[in-house]
Amino acid sequence: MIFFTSLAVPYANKIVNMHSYKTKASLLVTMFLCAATLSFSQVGINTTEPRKTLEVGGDMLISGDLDIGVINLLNDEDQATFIIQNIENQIKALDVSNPTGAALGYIQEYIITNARLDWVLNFNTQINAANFDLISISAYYDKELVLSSAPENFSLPYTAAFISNGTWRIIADFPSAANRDTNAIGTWTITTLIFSKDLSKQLGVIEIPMGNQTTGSAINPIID
Amino acid sequence: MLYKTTLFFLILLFSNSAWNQVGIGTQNPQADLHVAGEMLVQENFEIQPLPSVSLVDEDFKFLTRVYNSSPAGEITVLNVDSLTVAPINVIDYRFTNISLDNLRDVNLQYDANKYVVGVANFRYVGDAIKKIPVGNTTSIGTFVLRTFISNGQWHLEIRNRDLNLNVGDSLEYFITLIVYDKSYYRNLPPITTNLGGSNSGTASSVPDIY
Repeated sequence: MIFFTSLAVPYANKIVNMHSYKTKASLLVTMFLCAATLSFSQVGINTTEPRKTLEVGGDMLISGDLDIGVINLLNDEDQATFIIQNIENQIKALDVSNPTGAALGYIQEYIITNARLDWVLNFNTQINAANFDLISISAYYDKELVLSSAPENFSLPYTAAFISNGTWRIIADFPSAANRDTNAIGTWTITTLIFSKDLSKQLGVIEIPMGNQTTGSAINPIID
Repeated sequence: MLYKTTLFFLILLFSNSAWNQVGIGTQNPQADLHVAGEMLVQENFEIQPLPSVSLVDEDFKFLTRVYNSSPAGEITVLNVDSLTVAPINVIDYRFTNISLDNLRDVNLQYDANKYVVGVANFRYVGDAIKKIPVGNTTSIGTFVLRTFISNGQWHLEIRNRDLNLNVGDSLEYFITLIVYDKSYYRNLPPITTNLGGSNSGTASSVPDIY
């Protein structure tokens, strides 16, 4: 085992600065040749002034595990983003401030004008359902509605996202109701939340026959 | 001469030799490279595929990278209990003593530069807004529930724009606001599509997502 207190390697594979060894050189060479372990107190690689115990002035590759003993908590005043590992094994940051960088999720507003009165049956967002989950979180329609077939009818509006032919679609309607002014061009404003499937799971449809009862139970919880 | 020889050997060793274990800041390395202290990597960082989080790792924490640390890039752990604002914040609101059914403009005061505010879990509790006769049918008006940005802050509108609750009747609104931190979530520009009078069609563009 050999111990140095400081080592700096400003150019790859070339030693320029080495302090604090007092062993005779020949003995040192022998020790080096026999050594199985080596230790330093501070090391710079491609830098002569390491700011940390180890500073690598370039890239780093770890072929084994990485354990970090101390990781500080993120504080309120910190500006931070998540880190991920990509398919090439590189560690990268999710840089949301970069408009072409990935985010943890996306909020996308769809403004759909001039549908068939208030009725949007199948609006194709073209977002690939294999890679993303899309959820409608809120929606509103901006034109006055009248009940179309019978004045005593009731209308419960809905907006929902569904998958057809591999892409996410949106359906939105006030059933049994339509624009009071049939010449008015109405607008649906639908806010959606889009998650990458790297982060979320789409668990499909659970059918629950209620057997003409008002209370019931799901067969199994999907997530336990 | 001896010095030169030593240097030559050292260069040779550092060029071609590999140690089983190296300790920095420790004389007793516990791994192939053991840094007993802090480490800074200026450029790319690559590691073998990290093992997946499994069911037994229930209490895992997300790792974050701080870009206003000195030097930038400190790896930190995200513990929502130690933060005032988490990546996703869920807040319930209840509105009482409303003027008829009309929340025309409530300033929620969330900074639009920092947050995206969505609304969910809407509940309407109270008296019904009455339909009004229009020709041989009835109008249900225009009921709107939305969050919107005004003067750099998020605002809320919940009301029937055309109809009003009868005077003397009352209602309450319950909503859940979902406040997304824009450090992690992106508010994309709206996509406007004209369906040309049809009930089906395709979005005018596809958002730039990954």
